[in-house]
Amino acid sequence: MTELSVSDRSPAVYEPLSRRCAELGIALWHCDAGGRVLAEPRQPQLGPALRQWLGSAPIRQRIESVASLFTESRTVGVELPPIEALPGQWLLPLEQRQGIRRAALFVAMVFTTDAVVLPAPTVVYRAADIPRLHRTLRWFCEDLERSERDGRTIDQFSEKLGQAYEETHLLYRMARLINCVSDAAQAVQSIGQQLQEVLPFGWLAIRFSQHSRSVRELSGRMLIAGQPPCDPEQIRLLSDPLLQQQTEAGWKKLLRPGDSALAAATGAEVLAEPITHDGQVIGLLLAGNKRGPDPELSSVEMQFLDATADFLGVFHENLARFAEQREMFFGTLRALTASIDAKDRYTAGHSERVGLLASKLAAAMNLDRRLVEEYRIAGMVHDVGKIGVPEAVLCKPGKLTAAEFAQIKRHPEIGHRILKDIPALAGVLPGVLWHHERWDGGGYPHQLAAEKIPLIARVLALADTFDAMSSTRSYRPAMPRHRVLEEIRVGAGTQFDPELAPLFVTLDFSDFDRALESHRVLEQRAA
Amino acid sequence: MSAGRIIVADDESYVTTVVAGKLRQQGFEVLIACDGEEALALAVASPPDLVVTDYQMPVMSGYEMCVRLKQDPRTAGVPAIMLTARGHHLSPAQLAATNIRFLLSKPFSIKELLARVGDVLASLPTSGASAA
Repeated sequence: MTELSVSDRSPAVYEPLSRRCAELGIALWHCDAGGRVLAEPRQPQLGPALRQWLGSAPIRQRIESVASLFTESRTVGVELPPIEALPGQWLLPLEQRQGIRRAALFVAMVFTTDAVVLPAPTVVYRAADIPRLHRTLRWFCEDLERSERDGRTIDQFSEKLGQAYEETHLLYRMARLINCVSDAAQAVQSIGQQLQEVLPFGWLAIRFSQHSRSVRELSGRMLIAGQPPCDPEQIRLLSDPLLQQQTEAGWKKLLRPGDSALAAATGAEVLAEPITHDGQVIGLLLAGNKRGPDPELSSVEMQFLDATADFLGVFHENLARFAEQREMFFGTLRALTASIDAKDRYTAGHSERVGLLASKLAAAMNLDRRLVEEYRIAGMVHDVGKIGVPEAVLCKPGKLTAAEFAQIKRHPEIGHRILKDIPALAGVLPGVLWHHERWDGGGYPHQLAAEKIPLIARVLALADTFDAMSSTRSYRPAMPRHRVLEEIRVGAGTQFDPELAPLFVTLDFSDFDRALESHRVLEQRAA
Repeated sequence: MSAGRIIVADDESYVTTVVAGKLRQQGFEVLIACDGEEALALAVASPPDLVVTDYQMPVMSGYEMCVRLKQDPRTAGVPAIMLTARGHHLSPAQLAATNIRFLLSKPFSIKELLARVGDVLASLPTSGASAA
């Protein structure tokens, strides 16, 4: 392997090498493969007169004739000896090697004491020192080359390390998202965006099939990050055939413009990773228009997207399980509350409506999504203790006796006892126990007052009273809306929290009215 | 005594630095090449026990180098492990033209590479490869 492929550009080592040479009173030329001079000594240390002399045509010719000796000796690594071109004027040939190749040719000019040169050189050596000096220059050359190469490697390392750090960090963030069930679409969108930022793709799409019904918020959705070169709708349309593939068998991940309409539409390779759930393809992770100098997709990106698609599959499975559990939980709750409401036909749907109002007020108070949900559940179960109150008392038309009223007043404590061992309902217990307390301390069962009453119970008190007044009861007909709202306003600071009551009356009651109407229809049918 | 002589070829010096470093720690003698042609020259000059090479490299690809290694009587018995950055699937016919024993796709685990190096050297009939 003897090749003379020397670049025309001065190599990075020329500058530092010629600077060192100039300090030592040595001039240095850089020549191409044919021996032609590409760079001449210009260092100020050499002095202007000497520099001008070094740049003259005869000198240049002498340098080129020495450099061409390299061309004749085609074997890389053969050390050419120093040549005394004129008395006291030595030319030292040097080559810079990279592996088996010659990367550059240099010629150094050194003067010895017997030099006959005008203008006189600033530094002169003894003729006996020339071989040692030649060797030293070779070492310089090797060391500079090595240090330059190491510098490049370190640059590459830092870049790869930075990239690896980003990728690790992204995996870490994704791992944390796996429990994020409250806003799945937002979580998936965020994964897509971060992926697109970390990996060199122009765009990225995550889509779920219509069949993934168990996760309603993702079913049929396509989330795009970055800028696809075509209409996103086209991406949806052209990736449909992929989604229709039921299983991963025979799946082609790398789509090329030649054999895929999707890749052709985007004008570049597209990576298509299936997202699966129980072996079924339920979605796709698409990435395309790779940025950077190398437009071809590499196994580095493929592995990362493969892992992400797996993650999305597990995430989806997690969401489906969660949705199932939630469905079951609410189904059970509804069955429970329906059985209470059924004890008194006038209170049909009461618990569900109180849940609705409590969650609306919680949302208006800007409470966390999780709390809004909890307030709804609290509303649904707040009267569960009525199960322990005789029907005759609950449904009695007209005035209750003191003893009967005492029986009714036990329902918050009974409800609390029923629910207290269900860990998932721990948050709603204060609401169940204290929803009949009054702001002025005149309620039951514990006569708590003001802020001593937990917030959830103060909210339930408003929702409960509002629904009771708005619906027909065994002992009185429903009150008109304006009177109900007036009662709430009047009750602020006595029966109700003085800050919550004014907020409550500003709520939009249209959902409530629809629920009331549908419960009334159901009840009439039942009657 | 070295556990064996290995040529590592990749145009990305951070790969050769890491791989060579790990192999040297295991007691191997390592030569570095930055393309297929250089690796071939080193191998022909003094046949190694194993070549670990990238697929895509300038001047001469890792695959072509492996084909040439097998064609040259001096290096016909030298096994190779190939690293690919493109999940290249070499057909059985393509592989048969070389002595490639394993394909690892990038990013590969260094641990896995070392295990494969051990596997290849252990399977060599004449090698005294008692990989450290």
